[in-house]
Amino acid sequence: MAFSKDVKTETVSLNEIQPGEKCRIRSIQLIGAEGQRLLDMGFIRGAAVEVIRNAPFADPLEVSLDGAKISLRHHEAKLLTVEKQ
Amino acid sequence: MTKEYDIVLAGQPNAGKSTLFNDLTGVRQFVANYPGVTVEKRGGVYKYDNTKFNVTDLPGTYSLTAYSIEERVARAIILEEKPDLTIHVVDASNLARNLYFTFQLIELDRPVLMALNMVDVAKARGVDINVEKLEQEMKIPVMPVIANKNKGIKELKERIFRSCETSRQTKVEPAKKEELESKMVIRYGDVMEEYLEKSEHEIMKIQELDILPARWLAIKWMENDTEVEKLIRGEKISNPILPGQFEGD
Repeated sequence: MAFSKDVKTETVSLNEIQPGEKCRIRSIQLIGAEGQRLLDMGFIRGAAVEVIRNAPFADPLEVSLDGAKISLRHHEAKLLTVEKQ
Repeated sequence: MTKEYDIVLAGQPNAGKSTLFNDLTGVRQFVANYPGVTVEKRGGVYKYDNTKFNVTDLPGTYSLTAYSIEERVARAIILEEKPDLTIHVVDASNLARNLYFTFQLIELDRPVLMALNMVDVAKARGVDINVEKLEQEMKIPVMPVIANKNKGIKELKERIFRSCETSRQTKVEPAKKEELESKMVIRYGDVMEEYLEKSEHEIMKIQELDILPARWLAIKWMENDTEVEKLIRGEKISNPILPGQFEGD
């Protein structure tokens, strides 16, 4: 990357995480039915998520959470703030 | 006259609800719609120990919020029809994710039994569940089953029978209620608990709502549940949870 960031506290949106990278959920800005669904799936603070597939402009992106593979839309993943690991 | 109990099957999609439903009822089933909504109602009956059990298979949902018609139907049946027992069918290989739903069922303050399904699949994935510990922590009966292999069904029926007997007993003898009712309460931290307590207090003033569990109403009110809000707003009470009061996280 062209610029450096403090690795320890780096928070980004889930949709910016590349395939094969792992992260932890920090917060979830998605509200209403969509937000509730993600909470029901286990997207809660501290949950470990691994991105399996993620291509720009192409929905969905696929993540692994608690041993389950879950597909998300970019606009949903964008509203999940994560900590890179 | 033979005794009759009403039980319902609840759980997340793909937990094996319908498979278990078939195991319990066999061919004696009927399908209808819930009045006014296009949500399928599957019912069936079975007999055990000279007792008739009317089984209803609730729609599979991930949650019990007001966001979808299926979820509203599922929770309305448990709260309004007050079945003797709700059987929560759980996918043992995905236990953690299923427990969110368990907590919501427990919050409805109605008798719950967990049918821990697919224990064989879980085992194959290296997940060995301590059933006794789970019962102690959740304070509900837990029965391991393998629905698609018809395993554990007889034991489950016996436990359902006993749980129904107990839940009827609590209705008849209020004096005994306290000793039988050691329920798990999910705490939401000091800040939220303070507001929940205030809300609960307000809710308990409304006589029309006393058929519903006050703490559940308070929790849903806090979540801005549209249905619960309507219920409460109809009674003109002030909402102690005002926007902005949770600032700062």
